[in-house]
Amino acid sequence: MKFAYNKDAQVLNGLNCEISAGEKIAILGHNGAGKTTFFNVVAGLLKGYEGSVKLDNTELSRMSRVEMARKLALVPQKHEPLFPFLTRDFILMGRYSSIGLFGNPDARDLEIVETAARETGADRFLDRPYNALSGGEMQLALIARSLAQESDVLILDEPSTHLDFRNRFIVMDLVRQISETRKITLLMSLHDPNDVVQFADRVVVMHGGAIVADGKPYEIINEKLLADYFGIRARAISNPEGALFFKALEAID
Amino acid sequence: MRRAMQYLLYSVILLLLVYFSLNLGNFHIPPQQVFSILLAKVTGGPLPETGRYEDVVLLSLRLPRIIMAILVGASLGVAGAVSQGIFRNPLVSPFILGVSSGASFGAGVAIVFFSHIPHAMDFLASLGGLVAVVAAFLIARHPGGFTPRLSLVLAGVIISSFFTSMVGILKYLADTESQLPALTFWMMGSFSAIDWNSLNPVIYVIPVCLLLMIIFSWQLNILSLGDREAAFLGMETEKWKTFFLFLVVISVGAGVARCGVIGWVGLVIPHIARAISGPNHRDVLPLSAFLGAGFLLIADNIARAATSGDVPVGIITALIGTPFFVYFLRRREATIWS
Repeated sequence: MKFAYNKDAQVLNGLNCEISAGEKIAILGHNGAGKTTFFNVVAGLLKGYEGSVKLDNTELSRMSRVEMARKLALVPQKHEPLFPFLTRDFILMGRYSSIGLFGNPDARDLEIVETAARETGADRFLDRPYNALSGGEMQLALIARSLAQESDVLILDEPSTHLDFRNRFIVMDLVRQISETRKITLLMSLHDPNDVVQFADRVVVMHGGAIVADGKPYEIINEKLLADYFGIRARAISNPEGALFFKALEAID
Repeated sequence: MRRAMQYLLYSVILLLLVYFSLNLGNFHIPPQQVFSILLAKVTGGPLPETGRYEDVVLLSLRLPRIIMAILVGASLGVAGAVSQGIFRNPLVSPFILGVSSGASFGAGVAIVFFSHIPHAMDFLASLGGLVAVVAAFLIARHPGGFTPRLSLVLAGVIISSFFTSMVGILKYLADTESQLPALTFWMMGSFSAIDWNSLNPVIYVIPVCLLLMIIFSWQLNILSLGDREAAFLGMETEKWKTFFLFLVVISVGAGVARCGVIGWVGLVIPHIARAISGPNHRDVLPLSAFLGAGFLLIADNIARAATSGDVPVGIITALIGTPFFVYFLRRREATIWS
């Protein structure tokens, strides 16, 4: 699949990637590598791509937005709504593709919202305005809203960017658990190779609009990859269980 | 149930306001006569013996004017709330896409060049408003087939300023004895020339548009999240944006073509509505309709009763609207918008 915003700016240069149900995939790449464009294409927001993107054997460009929303849910990096909707109403918006025109949820929709809130811990602040939540709580509410969509795939756009150390772990760990219990496919863009190693079971490394590496994180990510594609000289630290941690030492050109 | 009770309460308040407004005016009619004339009209019985022109003043002058003020006020309130939701901006008014300046230009052309042709004013003002909005849309439209909101706002500013300068040319050309005052007066907005004839077709157009916007108001909650988010939740954002903006332009344009440009209602009323009902558009839109109707009716009462002449109502709405807006900006904005 290829994508260009205009003739002179080819952003995605022939990606070829197959994702199986239930995988937890991290997309790793520096800023401008094409991650966001890739997500936008996969999510059906950019339709003028070359080649083919299929979801359950259906070409994306042929699917309606409602059909897509039932299969794919996106957790944005951050969302600041203009209006102070109650968190409960905010999560209910995840049911848009089912509730339809007039916004009258039935008992099942409300039950789904309750369940999603319970699973994410958002049930603690359902009756507070979304705007008044802390950064970590907002992220939980966003995840709950995505769960309310009851989709098969969850796309997370840099889910931990705006969070502190503790909330980052809470959110990432929650997403991993949800993926395992609900059998949801995870597609998340991450910046930190250490998060990739800890939370993903497959990593796709993007560089210059193409995929340069694809496989299990602990096999793919190494000191050479970080030097070649991220301009970082790093040292890999491993413990007896084989877990890896990368300590960045120096930026290189 | 809770909503039904609220609407009932608002309706009663509005009806009381209408009755009060009917009693108001330079031509004094005793309240009991107002009541008996109305009762006779509603029941179809014979009009009470009043001897003078009480029934004419009441039924042919005051009543159509009050109905028009209610319709236009409701449309401006709702259109303002819808515009602010769509553009995600609290400073947006329903005139944002240039409908008022386009209509002003159309009205100006009618006053300066076609004053001898009946209905030229209505036709050209409507046409001007429509042309302005379509032009704004065409300017803002991205080759990829979508219309970013910021581009729309900017296109609206460009179109407005273009038509404002065209109105300037018309003012320059206009005859200073008759045409220039007429144009200036029209641009300040007034209900003084309203009779039963001028209510047609506004009396159908505005209620239909308002009803459609209110029925589908939940869509605005989603739309107000932003295009990307709304699309991910399954919304066809372009279709809904076009649907709502079309209704905004038609309902506001219908009023502007008849009564001129009445500012501030569409900007201030949605803020008050949100402060009362919370952010859900299913509550905000109906409340904005009631508040807009009531506000404009009161403003028009002041316009026709405060002085012996007939002050353009646009001046009154601006005089009330500006301090109100300052108050809301300072007292409520911190919690409502941030």
